[in-house]
Amino acid sequence: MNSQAITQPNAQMLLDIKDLRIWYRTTRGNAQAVDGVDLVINRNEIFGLAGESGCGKTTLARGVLGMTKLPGYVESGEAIYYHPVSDSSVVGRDLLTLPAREMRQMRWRHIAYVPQGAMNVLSPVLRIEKQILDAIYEHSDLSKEEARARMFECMEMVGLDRTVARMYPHELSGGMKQRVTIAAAISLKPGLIIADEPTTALDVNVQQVILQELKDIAASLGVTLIYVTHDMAVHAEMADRLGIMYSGLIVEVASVVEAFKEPLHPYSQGLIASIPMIGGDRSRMVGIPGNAPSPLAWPSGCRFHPRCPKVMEICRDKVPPMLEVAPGRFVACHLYPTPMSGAAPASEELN
Amino acid sequence: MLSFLKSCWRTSGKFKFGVIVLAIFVLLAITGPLFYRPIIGDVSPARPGQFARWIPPGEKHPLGTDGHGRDLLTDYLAGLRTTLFIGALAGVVATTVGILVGFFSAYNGGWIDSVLLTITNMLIVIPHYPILVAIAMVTPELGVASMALILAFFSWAYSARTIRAQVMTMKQRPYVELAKVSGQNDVAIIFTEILPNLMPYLLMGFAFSVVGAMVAEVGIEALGLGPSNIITLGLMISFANGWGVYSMGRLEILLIPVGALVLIFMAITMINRGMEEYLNPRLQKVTTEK
Amino acid sequence: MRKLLRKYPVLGYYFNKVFTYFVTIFGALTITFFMFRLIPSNPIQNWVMSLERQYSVTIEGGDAMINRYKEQFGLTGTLWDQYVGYLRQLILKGDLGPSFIAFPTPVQDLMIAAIPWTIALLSVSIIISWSLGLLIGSTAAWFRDKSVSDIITNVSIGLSQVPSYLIALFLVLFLGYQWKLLPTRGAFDAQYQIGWNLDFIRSVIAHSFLPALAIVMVSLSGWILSTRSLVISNIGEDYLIYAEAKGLKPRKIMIGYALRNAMLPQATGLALTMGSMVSGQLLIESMFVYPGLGQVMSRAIAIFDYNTMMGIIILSVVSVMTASLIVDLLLPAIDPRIRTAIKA
Repeated sequence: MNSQAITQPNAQMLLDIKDLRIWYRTTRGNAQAVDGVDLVINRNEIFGLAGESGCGKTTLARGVLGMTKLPGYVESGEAIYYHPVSDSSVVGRDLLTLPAREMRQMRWRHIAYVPQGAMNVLSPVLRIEKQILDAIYEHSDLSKEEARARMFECMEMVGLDRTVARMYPHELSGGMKQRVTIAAAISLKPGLIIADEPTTALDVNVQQVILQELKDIAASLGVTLIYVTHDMAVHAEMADRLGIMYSGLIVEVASVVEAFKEPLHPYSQGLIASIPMIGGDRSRMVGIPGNAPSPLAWPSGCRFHPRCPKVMEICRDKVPPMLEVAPGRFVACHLYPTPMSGAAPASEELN
Repeated sequence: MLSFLKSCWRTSGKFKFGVIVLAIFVLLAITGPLFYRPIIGDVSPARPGQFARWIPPGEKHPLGTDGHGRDLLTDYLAGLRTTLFIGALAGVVATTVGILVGFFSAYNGGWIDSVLLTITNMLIVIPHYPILVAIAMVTPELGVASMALILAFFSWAYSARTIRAQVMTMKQRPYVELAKVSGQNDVAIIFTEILPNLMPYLLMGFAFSVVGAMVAEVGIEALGLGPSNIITLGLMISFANGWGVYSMGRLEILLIPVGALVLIFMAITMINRGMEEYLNPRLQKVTTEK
Repeated sequence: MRKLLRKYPVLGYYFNKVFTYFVTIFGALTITFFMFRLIPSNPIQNWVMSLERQYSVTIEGGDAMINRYKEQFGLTGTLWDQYVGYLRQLILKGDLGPSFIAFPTPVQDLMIAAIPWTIALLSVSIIISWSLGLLIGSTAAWFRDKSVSDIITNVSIGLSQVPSYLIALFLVLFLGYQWKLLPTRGAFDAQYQIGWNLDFIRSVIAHSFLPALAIVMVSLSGWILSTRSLVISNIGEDYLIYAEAKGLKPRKIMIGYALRNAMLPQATGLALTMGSMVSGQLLIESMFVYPGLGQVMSRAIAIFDYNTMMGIIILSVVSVMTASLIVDLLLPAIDPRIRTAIKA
């Protein structure tokens, strides 16, 4: 596909994922981990991707980075990334069909990744500086001094002392390692950062601080952030918009305020009801009954129907389409067949 | 343990290959007398001068006779029997001693462990082969069992060291901790919690000792440094070299024992590797794609 | 002392290692000494008898002569006296006693003459097989989905436990006798003058080719397998996925991250193998009649030459232990993780 041919539908759009399917070949058939995701990420937003573990969040995040690993493979779909090549022109390129070499050059330069860094993402035998600098050298023409200056600048932004550069990963705390991964991710000022459960393994205080830093950095650098986590409380704090994923599909997209105030999809309602809120009504805390279905055989019709408290006849056979039920509010559920009237006031109120 | 072996058989081609090849040789060794008794009658296969020398292969002697006037088929079958037997016996003894020392050392810990570990290491650093040869040289009438015992004396240290390491890691597993907390006594913990989980590793250690003993045994014999009163495949190699089978144009006399030994070593290694890969799938291909 | 230890905890680690080093060497020496003395054998009697046979004479006063030799060889007195005497001679004078096989040349002189051959043959073979093993093993790991990798791995597994002398037999038969490509005995042709001349050097290389090939063929498979499994176990690691996410070149990820993390155990392995050089391939040397320590050893064993056997075994134990001591002492300097572990 000629990447130049794709024109940007609107200037705000940064990443346009269309009907993305990433499957895993297993001995018992195909595991359809990501199976028909449609999603638009806008420039300069923090997009939260939520869902239970095993719903395909990480597969989706890695897929967008072009790092789907065997036995996983991209069954179908597009992920078009729009990046400005000059002041006036924007180029859209499908990340999934990009040749391996070009995709490699896209990574870090345009799309950076913040993994769960408290664990083993940093090579234990290399100094921190080496692991930040090698990416800078790879993707830029900076001289040694400039690269080091850039590294220190980024480390300062995340509150790391310069001496950390000469250290080895095992000498750092979990929070410091996480800051290293953030500093590395912003070192080339990419357009998009995908953060996959970055703070999950950290204790709550450190998590708070790092989240705030990440949020500030995203705002000050004008970088778009896709933040993947199952932790709804984190989303409430971080995200501008929220996408809720279930069984390899996005079932609801809404601004974070709307999503928390009035979740539409019964699954979203269950997720949000299960968050322990400080000072909230304890009786409201309920889980979602049943287990997440297997990606080897998704349920027919709406994949949530076996667990859905509001299940209807139609849900068993017919897949609900993703509809824009109110401006900027998307939901795939038979309860909302047409643009709503009932839910509209909520969004108006917010506007 | 049976289910472990079954899973290895099902999942690993290497394991299957090794088991089949080894089974064929073991079967040949066990049924050997059925083949050679009709040829040589009721005498020791090692006795020289039973027949004329160098009778070419024919009806009575399928492979001919050797330079000592013995039937060659008998040589090989009897040699295979003793070689496998010495290996197996040495393996059993070495593994048993290794288990006892390894468990005792790891389970007690402290200074007992340090002392035993040091002694084990001493035995490992002494080069075995010269001492083995020296012992074999001064005792020319060495029997099969004493040969096996001498070989075992030098290889138990390896199994002791690996078993000790395994027990050390297993001691820290949650289920062992749980058993300790719930007040089971040490012996019960060893038999109910540690030993069953260690079984695959013991099997692997056993196979390793068998190979080690056979390599040492064949090495001594093949260079003509071992006892010559018992026929082994190694001794056959030594004889073949001494007879100059190459210039006689009877290369197969040398190639049969060498080939058989190479196949046996490969088979045992494949079995071991099959078990290892089953226990640690990372050694295999990482992908599950087939 | 305690204060010093608290300040430099690594000193305790060093002390422990050095202590173990001496204890193990001393213990191994003692075990070997008593083992040899307890094996029922009378080498001097045999020796005198073989001299008599050789020269068809009866040596007058044989018993008196035997006693005189016994004294020279340190075989008089109780076992304990012999042991103490041996140690005193060894530690104070660095003397391993006279040899039987080339009486009265001292054992250490025999060994010094043989060592260069062994070291030259073994160190070259070991380094070749180590480097090839690293290269092939990491490539096999990187392309683990290709069938070539499977073939390499399976062949290596099959070969890994086959003793090198069996491989050597094949090589001798085919490359030596059948096709007459390479010499199979000795270390050089006697017709050339020993020294730095081209003919001699060419002859030395030709003679070392087959023994070296036999050693490389077997040890290579071990290095391939260990490198492959080290690199493969790295491939699942998060830091490789992260390195890939950073958009580094695949070659850089393989060398800078995957192989780099496998290097430490492999370098350690190389050092330890170098240490076992003395005893590692005694059989190969005697098969190829190569004038190294293995050759000396098999001659010594043939007439039960205590002193020479002890000498070579001690050298072997010391070199194995020294290699592992060096590794132990250097590791904290090389691996930052061990440094921290010691401090804790």
